[in-house]
Amino acid sequence: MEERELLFDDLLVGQEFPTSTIEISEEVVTKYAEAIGDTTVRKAEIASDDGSAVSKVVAHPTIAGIFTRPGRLLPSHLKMPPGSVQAEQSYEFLNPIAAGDTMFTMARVSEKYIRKERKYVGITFSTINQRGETVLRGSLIGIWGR
Amino acid sequence: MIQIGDALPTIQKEVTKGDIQRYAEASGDYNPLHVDEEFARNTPFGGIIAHGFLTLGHLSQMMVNVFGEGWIRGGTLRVKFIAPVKPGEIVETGGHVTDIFEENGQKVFICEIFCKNQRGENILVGSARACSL
Repeated sequence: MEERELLFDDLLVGQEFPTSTIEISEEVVTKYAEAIGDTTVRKAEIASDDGSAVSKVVAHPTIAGIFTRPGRLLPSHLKMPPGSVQAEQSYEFLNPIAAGDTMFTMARVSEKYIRKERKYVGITFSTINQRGETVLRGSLIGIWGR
Repeated sequence: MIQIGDALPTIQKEVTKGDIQRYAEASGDYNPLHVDEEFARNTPFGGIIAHGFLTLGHLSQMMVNVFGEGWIRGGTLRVKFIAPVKPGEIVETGGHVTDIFEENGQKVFICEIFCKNQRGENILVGSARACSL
């Protein structure tokens, strides 16, 4: 399918996006740590895939920005218009994110409005991992480029 | 022991073009506002700006330094992005504890948080919550 921009006028309140899937590889965790300038290794007890508890290296929970940015939540054939920026963000971090985990994020458009000629879009989302645990819930307000 | 009114230990970082590039690579977010000088020059920002989520990482570092796993598992964050961060700017995180209470056998800490630039201007403001585990 040909890639195209998802314009403000195309969005519908209540619209749900297909589940977005991403593996948080060791490389992603490392690059994120380097980008924010904190490469401290932190471990937490988390459930392994067979249900037993293991100590694993975990990322800062704000690594969630990688898979909950609007551009990532859209279907692959749609992209955000250039010039779009983030206005507000909220997160509830429920379970740690470890390298190798796979994130499945469900998102929907919660609101859209124009203020001072800026086009605002609200999106709510929740993410589960490959074990079915809810990793986080949250919402964002983005200013759409056009 | 953490008390109401306590300041959170600040973190200062210079945000470089390299940081922005690394974040783009980690996230796959190559929005031209962040990586294309020519495009960004012709926007109201006048040049490339850092991803907002990059600054959230600095806040997370501050919170995890104080609350450890009580931030990673059970933390909440609510922020408004006020101003962009340009390469070469110094970001300073800060905040203080505004409330402490017990909930489900855990101590819960409510904090006001912010990030400022080297001119003292707010980059983002908001609130956060962490637990004692």
